[in-house]
Amino acid sequence: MPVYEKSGAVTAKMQRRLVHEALQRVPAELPDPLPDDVRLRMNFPARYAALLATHFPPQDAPLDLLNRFATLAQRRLIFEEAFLFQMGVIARRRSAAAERKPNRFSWTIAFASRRAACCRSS
Amino acid sequence: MGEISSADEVLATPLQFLKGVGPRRAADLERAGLATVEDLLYRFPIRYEDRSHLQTIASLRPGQVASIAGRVVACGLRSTRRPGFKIFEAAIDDGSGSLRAAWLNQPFLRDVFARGQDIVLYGAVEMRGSASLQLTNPQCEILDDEDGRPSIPAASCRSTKNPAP
Repeated sequence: MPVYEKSGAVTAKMQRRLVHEALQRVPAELPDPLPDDVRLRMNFPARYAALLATHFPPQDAPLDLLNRFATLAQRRLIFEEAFLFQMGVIARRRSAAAERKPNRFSWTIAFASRRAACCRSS
Repeated sequence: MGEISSADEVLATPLQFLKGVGPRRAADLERAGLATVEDLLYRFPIRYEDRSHLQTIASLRPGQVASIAGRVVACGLRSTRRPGFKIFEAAIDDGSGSLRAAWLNQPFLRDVFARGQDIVLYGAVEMRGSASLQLTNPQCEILDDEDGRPSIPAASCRSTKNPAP
């Protein structure tokens, strides 16, 4: 049975009930930000299945794994977050690189010469 | 493509459109950082308990980690010899027996627990004295506390570092 952290006037019990209803409204073929090949290679369940198994684990789910957030469903959600974060980082880096493209070479030289200066002085 | 956008729409649904959520509860949820269905689905449980195997107090053995459900028959704050150090104690009875739950240095629990409440406790069972069992700083949930009666965040049951809500 899942226990949620109570925050303010929102009780664990209320949250349990609402999550249950939310899961019934959301279509099971939820669009998945993880590409299928990545997901399958990691042996992860699809997004909806992972959400369901994390909020309402099956009866036979091992309690110690659940409490260590180490079931496949939980690990998939953790991975999903890291994946999306990493995508954001890459996207930012790309757009930043595109912006400074005209003088990227000079920036590289400046960086390299600064590093060289460091090496010499040490 | 149509299907995808409809799924995204469901995820973006404000929580007010769920059953039993009126403007006031929606405001409570929003204050807790939960505005949409997606927010709710991505706020995961902080822990899991096996409530299908609740143990009776009579069956508990020291050293075991167990979940029990029972009623608060007495509770109160106790001072210790160490100045300023207080212990909140509650006697819990589940019909098969009773035990003591003790929370160290969490005096605010006085405003959280009351006699007659039905609660679920989860923690390690210790032997105190020759024959009495105690749960020290157990995690807890007060049942049937949906109507705005004070309750306690499960997290602050666990640690004395968390301030009172």
